[in-house]
This record gives sequence, structure tokens and C-alpha cells, in this order.
Amino acid sequence: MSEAEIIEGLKKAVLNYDVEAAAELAKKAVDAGIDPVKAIEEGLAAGIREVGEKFGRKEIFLPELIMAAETMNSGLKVLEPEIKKRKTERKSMGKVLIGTVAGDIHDIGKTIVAAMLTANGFEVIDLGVDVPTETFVEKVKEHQPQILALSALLTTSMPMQKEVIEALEKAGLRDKVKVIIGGAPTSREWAKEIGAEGYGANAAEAVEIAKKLAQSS
Amino acid sequence: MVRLELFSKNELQEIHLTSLDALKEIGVIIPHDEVLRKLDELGAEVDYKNKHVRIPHYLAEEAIRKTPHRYPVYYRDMKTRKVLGGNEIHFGTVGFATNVYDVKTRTYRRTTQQDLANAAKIADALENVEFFMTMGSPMDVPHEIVDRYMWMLSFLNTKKHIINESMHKEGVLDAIEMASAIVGGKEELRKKPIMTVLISITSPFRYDPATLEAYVEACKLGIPTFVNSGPMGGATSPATLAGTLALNMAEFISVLTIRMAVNEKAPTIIASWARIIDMLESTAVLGGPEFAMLHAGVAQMAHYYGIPCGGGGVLSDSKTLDNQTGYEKALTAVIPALGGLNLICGMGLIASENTLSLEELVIDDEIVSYVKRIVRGIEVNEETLALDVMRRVGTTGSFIKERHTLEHFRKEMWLPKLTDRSFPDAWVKAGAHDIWVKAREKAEKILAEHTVEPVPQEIKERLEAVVKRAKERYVK
Repeated sequence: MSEAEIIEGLKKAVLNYDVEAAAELAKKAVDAGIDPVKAIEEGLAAGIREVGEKFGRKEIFLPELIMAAETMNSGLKVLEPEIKKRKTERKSMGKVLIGTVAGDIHDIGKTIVAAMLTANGFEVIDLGVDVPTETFVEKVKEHQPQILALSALLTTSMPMQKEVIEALEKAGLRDKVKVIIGGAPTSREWAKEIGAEGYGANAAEAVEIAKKLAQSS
Repeated sequence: MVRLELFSKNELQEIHLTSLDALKEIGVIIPHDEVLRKLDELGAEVDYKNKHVRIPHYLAEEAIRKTPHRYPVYYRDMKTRKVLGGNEIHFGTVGFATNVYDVKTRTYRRTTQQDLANAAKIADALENVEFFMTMGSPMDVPHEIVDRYMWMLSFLNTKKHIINESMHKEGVLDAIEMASAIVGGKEELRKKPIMTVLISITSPFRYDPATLEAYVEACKLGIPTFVNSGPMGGATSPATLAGTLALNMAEFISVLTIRMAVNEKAPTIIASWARIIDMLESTAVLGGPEFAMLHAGVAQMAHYYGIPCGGGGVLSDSKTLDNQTGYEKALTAVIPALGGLNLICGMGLIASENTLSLEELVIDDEIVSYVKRIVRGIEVNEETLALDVMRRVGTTGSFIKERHTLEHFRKEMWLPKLTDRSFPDAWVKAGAHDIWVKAREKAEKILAEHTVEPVPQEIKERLEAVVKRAKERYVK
């Protein structure tokens, strides 16, 4: 396979939601010595941008958007170590760390936001659900994202969003990262009260706010 | 496939026997000498002076049995084929509105040729309109030949199958001439009919002479007919729904007997508009629960007989585009559809079929799409029961990123085009609109961008010549 074929294949894999093909082609890209930044930008990211546009035009739906993001991630898993090795950097709209707070196992809203951010060109690190406060702090230190996105679907887990922000302050990281929050019981008022920089009433709004914050940081 | 059954076997038989007894004892007024003679020969009791026919049980049974159980019709392209009968469920517009409603200004005005052309063009573009019953009666043409204009404007502005009324024999012949010009001859038209002639029975138990002549002519030529009987419970039929249904079916059996006498091969679909009268307003009620139930009932009777059935549905008595329109249209669509009514006509009109609304036509396309999903039912098998996926996700995960979801959601879930399901914030931000605003935008987009497969210029001229000839003959 030529470089052009591999890159085109990566894009097609995302468009076809083919998780296995994305990983295989990413390996081929590494073996062939293709610049991993180029493989991402012209392959995987080009694919996900197209998927995002289709979603915006209501031609495709959430399961497809999410599966496309999964496909992109399976390719990234192979390409990212190569980027580190080469000491280069991926171009993106910005880096977002996302997770559902401790004591809360709600996955769907967070997954949708993560997929939409991915489709809009963000580099997304998804920590999953029921993420302990200290893990958020460690991962912010490790990945240095511009944005930390905290999801909470329960009135009982909502206070954990506040706890994460306080923990960031204690660790001296609060000015290094913008915090956005979301989830059914949360609100603009709650975001203000706990000192978060943004609130997304839905996934589309979360993307809008992330874009604004990424540009200003 | 889901099927709603209102009656037990025993009840079906009781309704059937009531219809047969009514035809035998009360009989029908059939003002057509040739038909009277043929019915006489077949064994009916004929009073020539009063044009009164009493039909014995065996003849009625024979007429039901000999009716074509299922038949295909075509779009103008002669490729798209729709079968009427059996388990088929199709939807169409309803016709002949003399008013047009402007939902933005909440005003009514008279229907014009342009309105009918616009409605046909929108119907052409909408996925769920399969049959185009000529939606409007234009008021800007000579009333003596309005049916010619309606046929011509329908043929020119949509490729969907046309159902239209002809006022008399000459009107039917003109319509057939137009359709034959399009498909390349009368024989071709009989093989692949792109038009259906609508006629109406006058309840109770009577035919209008001109209408009957039109029906006989269409049958002779083997052109499909759509025979409407719309008894009005409490006014032109008993107030009890079972009685209205029995009368409705008796009228249908009478037309099937005429059909058999004229041309055994002629395809006909019975089309019920059985309804009630509003006991305060004295209006015909098309959006009520009686209408919905009567049409599921007619469908069940027709399936008992094994004959194609159609009629009204997706109808409303509301004068604007509001909640009433929504619930009446939805319920008079879904109940007859679940009953198995093969051809449900009602899209695009409001105010008890009096008024055309382009916005409502677009909304009705959405309602029909919703109803079709319900009719399809819930498929139950190993793959759809999805225990494997449940095992994989377990007690903490989510199904949204599962491949099973990706593979099934498009088929399993109704994916609306117009319906608003956004979050309240997003709805407010988008302008806090009612559904008709989106429907209006879609209608305007179709009018601006959609191209109807054109009728060749030379054929268009032949259609216009038919109209011109009728004008010279019949307009004083």
C-alpha cells in the first residue's frame, strides 16, 4: 500500500465505522514510516470532520457519530506513541479531558459530548465514568489539557464537580485549565456557584463553549 | 405486522347478513337502463319504472366473490407499481378542496389552478404520498369542465398515481384520453393504469345518474375505480355505528354487483367515508373516533370478503394547524391503518376536507411515516431480543456505542424529519416555533427546488387540446 492509500484508508475506516481497519491501517502507517501527524490530520481527522458535518446536516445519527469517534480512537492509540517517539505534536482545536465524576456511572451524555468534541476537531481524552477526584487532578497534570469537562447525572454526584475544582486549586492547577460542566441536574447557576468557566445544556452547546474557551486560552 | 380487529367472526357474519338482507329487502336505486337489464338477467328483482333493484343473497355473494381481490396500479412513469388489496397499506391525499388556508395570516381564500399545481408538486416530492387524489377544485376555471382542468393539472404536476372525480361519462372519456396520450394508448393504460376514477354513492342506497354513467364507462374500459360511500350516522344512515357500517357495506356490495354486470374484469376498490353528523353543528365529522373505528371496521369486513378496501383517514375537522389537527389526523390515520385499510386518503386537507394546506400536507407526510412504523410492529427474534448485547454491556455500561445499536437503530427507530425533540433551551434559541413554521419552510423549499418529471411538450399539448375541446362543447 502506498502512503496515499493508507491515509485514504484511514479516512474511509472512520467513514465506515470500521474500528479494526483503523487500527490495522495505523500499524501499517507506522511500519511504512509515514508521519503520524499527517496520518491523523489527513486520514483519521479528515474522516471525523466529514462525519461531524454529516451529523450537523442530520444525515447520520448518534450511534454512527460515536462509532466514528471510537474508530478514530482505535487508530490514535497506535499513532500517538509514534508521535511521542518523534517528539512532534498533533494539531487540534485543543485538548479536552472528560469524565463522569466519582459516585456516578452515567456514561451516555459524557460519551456523546466526547464524540461531538472529537468530530469537531478536539483531541479528547475520555477517562470514563465514576472517576475519582484525584484521578482528574493527576490526569490534568499529565496531559495538560486546555479544558476539563465534568459530567454528573445525579443530584448526589453534582457536589463532586465542586470537589474536583477545589482539588485543582489545592494542587495549584486551577489557572492551567478551564473547567466546563454538564448533566441533567446541573445548571448555569451551579456552574457559576462552583466557579466553572462553562456550562453546556446539551452536547451541541458543550462544543460551542469548548470552542470559545479553547480560542481564548 | 400489527392488525387490529374490532369484531369477532360471529359479529362479522351478522354485519354481512344485515347488508345482504338490506339489499334484498330495501334494494338500491340504479338509474341506468343498460345496467338494470343486465341485473335483471342475472336474477335481480328489477322495477324498471322506479329504477329500483332488489338483489338476492346469492347474487350479492357472487359479486363479492368475483371482485378482483388484488390489483396493481402505476405512477405516470409506468415503472412504480402499487398493489391494492391484501396486507398492503398505502396513503394518499384527499381531494377537491375549494379553499386554501394560509396558516401565517390565519385566512381562507378560494382555490386556484396554481394552488392545485403547487399541491401536486409538493405531493410529488413527499415520500409518503403514493396516491394523488386531486387536492383542490380550482375556482378560476369554468365550473362546467373543472374536472378536465383537475385531471390535466394533476398529470402535469406529479408522477404519482392520480385519483380524480369525473362529473359524467364525457368527463371520464376525456380523462382516459389524456392518460392514454401519456402512456401511449388505451390498451397500455388498461395494462398499466396511471389513473383511477372516483365516483360516489348517494346514501342511503341510491346512485346519481351522471355518476353512475361515469362508473359504467370506466368499468367497460377496464380503468380502475374508487367507489366512495359515505353514509353519515344519524343523518343518512342509522345513528348506531354497526348499522352505519352494515349500510356502508350494503352499498359497496351493490356497486360490486353493478361492476360484475358491466365487466367482470374491471378492478374496483371500495372507499369508505362512513362518518357521523355533529349533533350541534350539523357538520359531517371526519376527525372523530367514530370515523376512525368505522374505517378499521370496513377494513375488517373487506378482509373477510377478500376485496381491496380504502377510504378516508389522516383527516381533521380543525380549521387551523393546531393540537386538534394533530390528534384527529394521527388517530384517523393509525386506527384504519391498523385495521388493514389498503388505501388511506386524507393528506393535505383540513376543515373536514374543505380546505387545502400545503403546510399540513408536509406535516401529514410526517404523521404517515409515524403510522407506517407502528404498522410494521415489533420484530421478535434472537437478534432483536439482544441478550448477547445485554451480556456484554452488563450492569454498568451503555448501549449507545455498541455495534448492535449501530446496526439496528435505523430500522428499529422512527427517524422523524419534522418533529421537534430538541432540548427546551435549543428550541427557544431556534425561535420557539410551532411545527408549521418548519413545514412551511419545507414546502417552500420543495416549490423552489423540486423538479417534477416532465410530460413531453407534444403530449402536454394533447392534454390541453382535450381541455380546449371540452371548453368549446360545454362552456356557455
